[in-house]
Amino acid sequence: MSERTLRIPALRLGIGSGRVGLILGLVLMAAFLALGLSPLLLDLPPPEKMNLLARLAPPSPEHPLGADHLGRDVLSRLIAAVPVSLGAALVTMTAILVISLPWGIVAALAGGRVDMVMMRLADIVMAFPTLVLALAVIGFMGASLEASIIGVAAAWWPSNARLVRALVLSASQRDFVHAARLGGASRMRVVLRHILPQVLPPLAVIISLETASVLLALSALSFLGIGVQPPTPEWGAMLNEARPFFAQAPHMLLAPGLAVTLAVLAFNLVGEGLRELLDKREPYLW
Amino acid sequence: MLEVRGLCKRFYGHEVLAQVDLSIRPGEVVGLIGRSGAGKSTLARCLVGLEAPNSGEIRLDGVAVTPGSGQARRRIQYLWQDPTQSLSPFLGALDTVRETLNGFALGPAATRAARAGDILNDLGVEGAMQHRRPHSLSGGQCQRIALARALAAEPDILILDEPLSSLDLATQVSTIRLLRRVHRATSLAMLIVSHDLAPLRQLADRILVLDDARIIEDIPMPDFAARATHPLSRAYAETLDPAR
Repeated sequence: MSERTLRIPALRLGIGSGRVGLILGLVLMAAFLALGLSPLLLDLPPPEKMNLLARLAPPSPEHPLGADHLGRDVLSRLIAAVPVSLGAALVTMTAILVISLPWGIVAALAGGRVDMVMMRLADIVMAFPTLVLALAVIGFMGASLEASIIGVAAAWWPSNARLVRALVLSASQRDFVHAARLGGASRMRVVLRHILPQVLPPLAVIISLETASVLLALSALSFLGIGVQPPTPEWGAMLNEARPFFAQAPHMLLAPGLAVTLAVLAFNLVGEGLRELLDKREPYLW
Repeated sequence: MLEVRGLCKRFYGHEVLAQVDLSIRPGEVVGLIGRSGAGKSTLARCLVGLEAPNSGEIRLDGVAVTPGSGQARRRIQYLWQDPTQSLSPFLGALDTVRETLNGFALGPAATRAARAGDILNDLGVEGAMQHRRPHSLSGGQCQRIALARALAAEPDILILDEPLSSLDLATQVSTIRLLRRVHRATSLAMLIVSHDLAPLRQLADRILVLDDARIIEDIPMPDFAARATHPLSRAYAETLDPAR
């Protein structure tokens, strides 16, 4: 078979290159965004409205994804959970970055004892298993969405800080960074104009991949009943509510399970796609 | 005048520079030659503060030069071996030169862009090229921009680390001409690190030969072939074409 016959359109789009993955991930993210905005356009029942007559009802025209054990519309709750689940993951990731970015940059650039003390502090936090530390924070603050965000961020930031430090150390050894310093550029300018532009592209990949992990961790906490509290809809909490009724009403489990899977897949595809794109970039063209 | 006394540098217990002494007078061009790994680049990097010596001192007009001494550092500038890597991929040529003018607050802030443009024009980096980033420029063009950045600091001494090694022959010739022109115009002292003696013949007043972590010979360039005694120096002298 000649090489020409292998050039089917899908391959020419670059399935192996991650570009299709990136596009698919972005489409999935856009779909979640549209889903989150859909209550403004669709006439859906309120997510907390109970109808005991429709308890565990299977999918029907009235309830497209069925009803839960309290007769609440699963589709309505699934959509209402979009800003809660994804929003919590994004807020947590932002909190992680707010701590880890300056922590890693300062440790890398200060070096010496400052670096040693900052990294040992991070190591101490990293010594605790992520969920155990999150559970401790939640135990101290009481079960809530805010507590789970703080708990996950508190457990997650050290690994990110280590990563940022490694990226900054590598970036700051480039000749042009030394040249900027010799050229009298201030420390702040060197960081903002010469180091951060090198660090941000690989960091964007990591952020995307880690957001997926954070989403899973938050969903796991809600699944355990110590994250988002009823009646607020959240995918992990919906899975927890569906657990006792798995045999009678599998639709209760499938919808939030699929939502979590697709959201994680979206972030992973975007992260992987970005990584492959950046790996193939021409030097200095990012 | 730049004076170096008893400079020592070790990497993981390995002595790269051992009790190195040297001096460079104002306006003098000194060539530093030696085998690969002899410590030439390490010495050059110590002089500009890119490496911290284990002992010894560096003085500029009698004032000790340390990593924190800002104005003293301004007076010693450095040209990297690979000019492309030494220019920020995020800045155009004009911004690169202006960064140095801003960094050392040289001249009124309002005139620095024009001053950066003038320096680049003088070195043949003109028009749209002043706004291009290094990835779209040749090695020779990057070399000129790196030189412009170093000259913008108004240094007293320019240290050039293998300035010709990454350039093709034609660009090497034009770079040598450019460096001679810069030296004539500015009376800048230069320390040119090289593994090849031939190009230094057209530039240097004096040659230092570095071997086994020490400076083993210090000979005026015109007399190099006649006065070289160390086998390594003799070997370098034999590379010189007497007809040229």
